[in-house]
Amino acid sequence: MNEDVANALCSAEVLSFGNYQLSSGKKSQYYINLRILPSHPDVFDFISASIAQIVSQLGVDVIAGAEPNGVPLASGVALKTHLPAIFVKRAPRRFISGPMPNLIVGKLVKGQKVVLVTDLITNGYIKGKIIDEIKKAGGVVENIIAIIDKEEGAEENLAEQGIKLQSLIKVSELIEHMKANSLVDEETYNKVIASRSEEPSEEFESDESDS
Amino acid sequence: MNQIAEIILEKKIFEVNFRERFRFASGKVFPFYCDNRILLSMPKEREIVVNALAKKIDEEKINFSTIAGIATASIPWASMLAMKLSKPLIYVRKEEKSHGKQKRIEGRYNKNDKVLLIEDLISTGGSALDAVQAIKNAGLEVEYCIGIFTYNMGNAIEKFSEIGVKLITLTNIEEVLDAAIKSGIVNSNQRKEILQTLG
Repeated sequence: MNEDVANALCSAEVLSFGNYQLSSGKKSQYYINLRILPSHPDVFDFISASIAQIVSQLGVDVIAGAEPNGVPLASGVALKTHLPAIFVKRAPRRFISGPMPNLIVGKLVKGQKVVLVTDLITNGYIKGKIIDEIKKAGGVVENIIAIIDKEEGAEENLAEQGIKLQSLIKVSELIEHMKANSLVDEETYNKVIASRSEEPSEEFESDESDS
Repeated sequence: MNQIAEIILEKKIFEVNFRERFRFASGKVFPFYCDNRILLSMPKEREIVVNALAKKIDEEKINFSTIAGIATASIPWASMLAMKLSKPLIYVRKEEKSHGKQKRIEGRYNKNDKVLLIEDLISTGGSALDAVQAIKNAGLEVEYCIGIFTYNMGNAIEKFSEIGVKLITLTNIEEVLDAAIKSGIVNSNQRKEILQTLG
């Protein structure tokens, strides 16, 4: 685990403990909010640079982010890597008729290698759909990079799609780091660990508003 | 000649077509169209624009604590600028009718923070003016809005000044049309016709 990443995320207080109901309807003993990350300039810079470092080893042509919550991070990584950026719009909830509108914002040339960067990943369901959109527009996608992996099956689910998931940190590592640094008390820690072990795997990813 | 106006023209961000006119979000039809989002896929030009925004902020001696983007088109610009200037970023979500009470400002902020609003393109100014209101409703202050380009339709600049916000843009339709005349893309009659459609 990268200690610097853990410290940076803790300084921005992205993980809080309590009784939360996630957008999926599931109850959770902790809540991760990475939308506040860009409000901490040093942390935003460091995390973007850390992802940029992974990106630079992949030899990709384009950085992609999902609207709206993935946009600041993708922009930061694009600035660091000097690579073109594209953004993927959310699909409209309902279709009445006609072809699916193009959800890609920016310019994508057929055959370009694209990496999707995201703040949080749970089971990879929504991110898989986003990758499908990029592929439909002609992009070649083999990689996704997340800041935090909630370890709810994304790695396996995306691997089935031929996508390799890399993350800066796993949520279990972040929680252990917080324990080691007395950022969480024993009782809360035990409750969180117990609740994590009984979490059922979900059909739908909740990180669109959970993140 | 304004460098940003030249980029917008050269990179075909701004297009003129009198035969097949462009339908805007408002439903109105114009013989021109500007799509700054394409610039996000051009690292060199994107960097020039971000640096130009930073320079403008410096020249205008704008005093601010926080940068705000507006969902969704201006968030990339606001994010890059925030990173460049080491300033905190917040962003204003679109109002979703189904969730009337949903929080519209994302990010961490304090009451009375001085916000600099970033917009990529201003036509009538509607979405930026709406964002100003959302930011003020959350208890923050907004004195400046910086945009990359404006059509200045229906006197957008005056509408901003009426609510106490100074609108500054890197370039505008007049400057882009000047560059277009220089390159022979439009003639002076067409320039006049385009400006008359703005109202």
